[in-house]
Amino acid sequence: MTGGCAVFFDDGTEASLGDALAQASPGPRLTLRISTRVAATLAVACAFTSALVARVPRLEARRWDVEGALQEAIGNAVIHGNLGLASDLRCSLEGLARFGRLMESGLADPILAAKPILIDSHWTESALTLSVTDQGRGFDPLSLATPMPGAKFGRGLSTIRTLCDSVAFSEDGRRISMVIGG
Amino acid sequence: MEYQIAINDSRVGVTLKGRLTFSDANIFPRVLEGMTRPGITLCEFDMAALDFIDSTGMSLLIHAYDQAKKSGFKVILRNVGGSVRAALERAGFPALFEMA
Repeated sequence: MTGGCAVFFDDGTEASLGDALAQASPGPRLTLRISTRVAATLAVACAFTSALVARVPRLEARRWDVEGALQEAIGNAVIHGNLGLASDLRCSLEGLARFGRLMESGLADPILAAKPILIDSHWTESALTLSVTDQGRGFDPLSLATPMPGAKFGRGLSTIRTLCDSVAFSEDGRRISMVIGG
Repeated sequence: MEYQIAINDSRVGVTLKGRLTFSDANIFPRVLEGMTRPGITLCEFDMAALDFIDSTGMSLLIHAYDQAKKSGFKVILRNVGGSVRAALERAGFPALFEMA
């Protein structure tokens, strides 16, 4: 794959993230490296999707699929990947409160907050491929069950599978690759 | 995400605005605490100004559903539109909530 641009964005505002992506050089690839703090505090999926749609206008038709899949992948990279938090914390109200506190304390830790997340995208005339890579312990995607409607956790991956035409994992589950046609 | 809670006798109104995502997980307990009061019979979420929801954001609504079942009140999701409605329908929420 040749052409395109990598944007490194470890701190800033949503406006400055949007500007950095908009100013990236053209080409059939756009890569963004962000800190965990940025991923957890800014609407990165929205900004990245807007940048993709600006470059590939036909993706407007699948904008919500792209943003939805990217949002879930970034959320998983932050929560389960770089912060290492378990899904089942959110089962109970007490667990939900603990989950919120652990998110806050993780993001207050300068080492955890600075851990990178890489978002890569490239496109052809028929499909967009997105990947999100974290620096966590990885996981076995086959170990996850399909959630019931009343489930309080575990919806992220099933949402991604619904929105994308194909999904694959590599690097022991630290990288998810998603293909969206159109 | 911004939220407001208004209590009027036995009804609670929760207005959500912006993006309801994993980034807001630390405020979910406050929202749930604010809407769960003795004597409440109805809790209405106004989602007209909610632009986006992810799977972690949905867990706030599932916890509200559980609280309602425990405490005997009803939850209605009002003014659900656009991508938020599509996401909730995809996740099977119409089987759990009245979505007006």
